Amino acid sequence: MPSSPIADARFLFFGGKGGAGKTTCAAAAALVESGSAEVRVQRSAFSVLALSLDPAHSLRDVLGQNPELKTLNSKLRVQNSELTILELDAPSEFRAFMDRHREELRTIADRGTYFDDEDIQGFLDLSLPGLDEIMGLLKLGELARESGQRRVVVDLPPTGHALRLFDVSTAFDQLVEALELMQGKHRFAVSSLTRRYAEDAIDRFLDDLRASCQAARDALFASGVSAFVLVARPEPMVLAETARYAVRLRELGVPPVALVLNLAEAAPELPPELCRLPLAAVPRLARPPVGREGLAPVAAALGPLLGAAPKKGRVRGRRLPASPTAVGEEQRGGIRLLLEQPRRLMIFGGKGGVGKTTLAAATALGLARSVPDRSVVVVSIDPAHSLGDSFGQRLGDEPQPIKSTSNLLAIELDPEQHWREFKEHWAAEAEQMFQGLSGSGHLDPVYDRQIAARLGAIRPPGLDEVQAATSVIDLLDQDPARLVVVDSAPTGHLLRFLESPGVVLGWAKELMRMLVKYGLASQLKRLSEDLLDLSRKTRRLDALLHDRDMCEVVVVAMAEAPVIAETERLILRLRAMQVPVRRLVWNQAERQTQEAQALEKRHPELQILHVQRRGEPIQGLMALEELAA
Amino acid sequence: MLIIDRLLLLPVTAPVAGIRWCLQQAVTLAEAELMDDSAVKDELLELQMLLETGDITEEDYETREAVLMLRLREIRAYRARQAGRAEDESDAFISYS
Repeated sequence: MPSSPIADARFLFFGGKGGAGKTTCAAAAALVESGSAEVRVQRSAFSVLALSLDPAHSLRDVLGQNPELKTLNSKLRVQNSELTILELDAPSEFRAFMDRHREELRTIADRGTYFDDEDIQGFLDLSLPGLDEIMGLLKLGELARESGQRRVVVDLPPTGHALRLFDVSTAFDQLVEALELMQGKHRFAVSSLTRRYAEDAIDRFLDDLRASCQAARDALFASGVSAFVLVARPEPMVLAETARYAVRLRELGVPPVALVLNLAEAAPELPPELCRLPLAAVPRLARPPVGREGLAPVAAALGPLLGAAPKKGRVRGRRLPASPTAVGEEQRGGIRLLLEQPRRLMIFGGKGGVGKTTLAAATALGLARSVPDRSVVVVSIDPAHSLGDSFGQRLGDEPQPIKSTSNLLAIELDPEQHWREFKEHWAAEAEQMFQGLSGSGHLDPVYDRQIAARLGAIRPPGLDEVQAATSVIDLLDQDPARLVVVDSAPTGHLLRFLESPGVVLGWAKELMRMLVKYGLASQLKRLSEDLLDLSRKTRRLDALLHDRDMCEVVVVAMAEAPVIAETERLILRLRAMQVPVRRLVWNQAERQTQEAQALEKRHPELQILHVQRRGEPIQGLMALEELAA
Repeated sequence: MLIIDRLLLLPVTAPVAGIRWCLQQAVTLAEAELMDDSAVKDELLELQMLLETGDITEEDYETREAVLMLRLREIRAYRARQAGRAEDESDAFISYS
């Protein structure tokens, strides 16, 4: 077996910008690794788990929901091989975790703080922001600790939220430390009263949690255990984001080991951050890369990276002679319709890579032109921003005027910046609160101080969504006539953003109750006022998000099978959440497939818009103006 | 002789001085409360938080808010009166000796 970072790794991660082809590559790699592709690695037994950590899963769309896999599975078992698919359902995993460990967590909080049982139960019932990353981390830890040497191929969420998974491992360490200190306080009390201490179930629970945490860190960070493969497409905006991604991964100590370029007709010029990586190019394919047959050419292209050789000396699937879309086609599209009856809050949502950013930017530009007396703000809430790339202008956390416009501002929210401000703002008050709540002097104030410091240092993983929610409501509050266009993160995290008001309200409510109950509101006035303000704002945003006259989610899609499947799930979910959705935009819609038409038929209430493909990527103000005209 | 007189009368004068001191303290505290609106504001904040958490109804809130607002107005009126009197008198604003 050839030795390479990829061949040696137990965990093989596929990451990249939304729509770059992560799932396709992860699925193809899982087929190769499990010995079920035309190309195969030299191994005696193959046991592979294909794991999706993107809350909007499509692994099963690509790999699982076709009869081929069923036959494949039975055949594989005969060969002493196995391919399992797991799409992580974070909310139900979280509920299961809380059901299993509620008693331990309650006991720790009871021993380590001065909260009473009612308070603790209140907090244990709350959901968490950033649930997907927390449960993803725990799942990786669990898999890393299982016996046997199952290979795990991980289909990561799009850039911004995949990076959050790495941050979560730090936050989780800090949380475990805080829990251990709470238990340490109990240990100290018991041993100072009885002069001896016997380990109990809580100590074992904490040991287990720490071991899980360490195993998850190894799965993510340890070279020899994990390998990170970047997936991109040869388009300027995708390459720009992928280059930033590579830099960030190197900073985190997870240098990417290879780059896969999807739909690569010719070798493009790569940014310097990417050009030294071993490269695999996947050509544009004649049929969609779905199922074992469809994925065969992708598997063949990935083979050399995975250290695999052709099984029978042939690879099925053929290349298309040329790109199906002719350059210089008529590009006027349907953006104009979006400018009619604009809502105060227009959120562009859809699967990664369908063109949300481009359409949000063009719509904002069009709105700014059509209502010159009103202020228009376009804000990117995807932690991996590309709004600046789209405008061809550097953007940041402060509103930037867009060149050659008088009433259009653009923002790329910076969670780091907000976190720093938040920490400065709260540092003193939070410590005071924790000390006030946990009391001091009874046992050992050293523990209380340390617990407070540890808890205060934890960066809640879902802060991006919370911050995005408060920023949006602030932008709307500042000017009652203002229109706000939101460029959102791909499907899974758009849904988390829409759910975030509920999570925030739950936490604000419990914290405020606590402050009133323990008579701390007057001492911690600023905290109390800010919580009250946050709660009121969030309630307003929640109402706005469900108001048909004020808000809409514009669903963007492309006529490709996996995109259509995810788009329909998004539409249904939005309906279930009672978030208004009126319009579906087909981007790059020069030919309409049967599946696309079927989707339209199933949702006759939606207004359908078509935006046609341009010859080259839409980037820069001129191109956006043309699209909006 | 004066010193001896005072010493002899101490059993009688000391309690009186003590009582006077206590009264003065009580008056000072009452005045401070009459002059200080922060306690009322804290109560208002708590009340708003209770409404926001849904622990009291809007009606409850309005009733209790009205009481607090009345107290706030009394404090402000008292303050205005004190400010007016302070301008009239050149001395410290009040003396009970």
